[in-house]
Amino acid sequence: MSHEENEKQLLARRGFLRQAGLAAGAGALAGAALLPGTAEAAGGVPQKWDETTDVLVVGTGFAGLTAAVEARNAGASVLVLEKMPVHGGNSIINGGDFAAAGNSFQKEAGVEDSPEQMLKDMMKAGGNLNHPELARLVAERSNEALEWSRTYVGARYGRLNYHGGHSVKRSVQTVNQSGSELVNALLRKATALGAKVALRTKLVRLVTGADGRVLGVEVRRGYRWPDEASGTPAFIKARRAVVLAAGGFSRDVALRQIHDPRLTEKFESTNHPGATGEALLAACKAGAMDVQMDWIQLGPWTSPDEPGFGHGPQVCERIVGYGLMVDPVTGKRFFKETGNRKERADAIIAIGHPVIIVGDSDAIGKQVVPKVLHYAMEVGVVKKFDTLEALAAEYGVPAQPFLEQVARWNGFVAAKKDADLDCKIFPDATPTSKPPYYAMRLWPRVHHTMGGLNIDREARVIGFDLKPIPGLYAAGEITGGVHGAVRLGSVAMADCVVFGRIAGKNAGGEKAWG
Amino acid sequence: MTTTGSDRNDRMNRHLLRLALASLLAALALALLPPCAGAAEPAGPLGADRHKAKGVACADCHGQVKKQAYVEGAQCLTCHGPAEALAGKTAAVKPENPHASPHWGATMECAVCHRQHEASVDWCAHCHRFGFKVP
Repeated sequence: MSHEENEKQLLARRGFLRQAGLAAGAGALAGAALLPGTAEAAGGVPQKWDETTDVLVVGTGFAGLTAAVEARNAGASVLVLEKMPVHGGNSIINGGDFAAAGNSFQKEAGVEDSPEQMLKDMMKAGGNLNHPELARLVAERSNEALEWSRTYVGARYGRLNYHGGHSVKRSVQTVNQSGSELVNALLRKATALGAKVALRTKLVRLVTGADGRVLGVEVRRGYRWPDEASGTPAFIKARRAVVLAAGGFSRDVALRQIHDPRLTEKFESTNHPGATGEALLAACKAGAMDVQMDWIQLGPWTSPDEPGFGHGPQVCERIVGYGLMVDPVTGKRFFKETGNRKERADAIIAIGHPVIIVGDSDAIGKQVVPKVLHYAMEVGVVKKFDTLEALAAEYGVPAQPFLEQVARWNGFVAAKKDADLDCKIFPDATPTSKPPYYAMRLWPRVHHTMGGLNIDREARVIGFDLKPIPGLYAAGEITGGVHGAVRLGSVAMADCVVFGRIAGKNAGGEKAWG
Repeated sequence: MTTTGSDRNDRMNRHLLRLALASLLAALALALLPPCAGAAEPAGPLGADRHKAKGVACADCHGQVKKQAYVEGAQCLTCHGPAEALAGKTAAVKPENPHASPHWGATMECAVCHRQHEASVDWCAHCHRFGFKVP
């Protein structure tokens, strides 16, 4: 921008502010509504909307695109906003595991399961802080949601996995071991149905009427993340409803520290860089209630030897219940490998330095997708050793206690019962005795914010008067209550699709306000 | 010539002001950098300069607009496309083909990485250490 243009803009802004100030003063004096033309500056309703849609969705992850599909199928025109220059949020870098109670892969493998069992697991991990009616919906509709994503949306799934904290194997994984399989299928479906997607468009605030109904949104079009001054302001009218599906705030160090001061910038995050919670705060400003914001989850399976989510988690989480996790300083196991995320992350943080997880060629060969192992080894996250002694030497583990610990673990594997730490040992697990051996270092990263907007069973956002805010729905990580204190691995996909469908259907079925 | 106390104070104040300004600017510059994304070192001229050197005019990409505006990938592909063929050209890039990721494949907007008026960015570096040199 030239100097001249810059100055012109500044002058224009000053005039605008002066006008807004005058208007506010006049409004207060007369006790009347704001003067025409100044509503935008004061947070009111604009005189003119730049664009109109029936349903406006914020966010292009699992929940947002699912809502877009369902709203479109309910007969609404749909516009989906994404602030980043790429679609998909965290969903497109997620591991692609979808927990579904009683799914077809379980039936094929002879695993008995039920929605009641899944609900029990969710509530146990969640410390019973879960809003039970929300958790129940996710468990009950999980398999229906999975089947919808397969047969209607067209996402492909290939295997049955286990995640820590679940009582059985119930997580069905996409064919490419990535949430991108479902996100991209949803995007294709939504756009084929006529939903529009606008990238680089950031939500600034929700526009509400005098009665509190959500009427639309103020955005910045052409936003260049992370430059908050970029883009141009615009108002989009949402005739039927707004669906917030903008994800959590794991990457917002200031916000997460307000709720959990221990999570300083020293803790990295697995999340995409835009997971910063502004849409959640915008909803709060419009009267939405936030719940359980201080339950922030760290993933215990990330490696300090790669950035972000990386490849490591899909090695670590596949071999829990098949291999052992040890503290490299003592050479001993310290926590049950199949514990839930919070228990394990807390145990590692309490130790205070990275720990290691070990699997032999049998565990790795059986459990880890070759391509995943290839990537993890290529970046140096997972290392391979001919002997346990060589492995110990690499990580500075005292050899004798470590070898004794492996022998002890192997005894538990043979007995199918861990007398020390009660790790779940799978029926097909074998002793850690077949070279080569594999190991990786583990250090937790901020992964999921369980808290968020308070919603009801209809995905309506609840305000501080304990009533639904008219015209406002939410789904996915931006909401709170489904998972309570701890979200179990692979229940995010179920949560997003179950509540994304409910939010989309209800938003699409709303009566238009204008 | 002697300096008075107030002169010295003035100079000190000006010096402090300059320091404050400099640190403010530095902080600003840092804030503008995309966090974590591998900001590639500008290896020589920027993309726009290289385009210009090959005879591409501003309007060839931006059209007749008054100020610099975002250029959609579709515009880039009128010369560099189609996207699938372009992805084919980078098939041998190690360790991965940047235009064939499981996340966005060849559908990603070009300017996410290939910045024209600033140093290019390795978007993959948010999660991966591929070490791409992005032109």
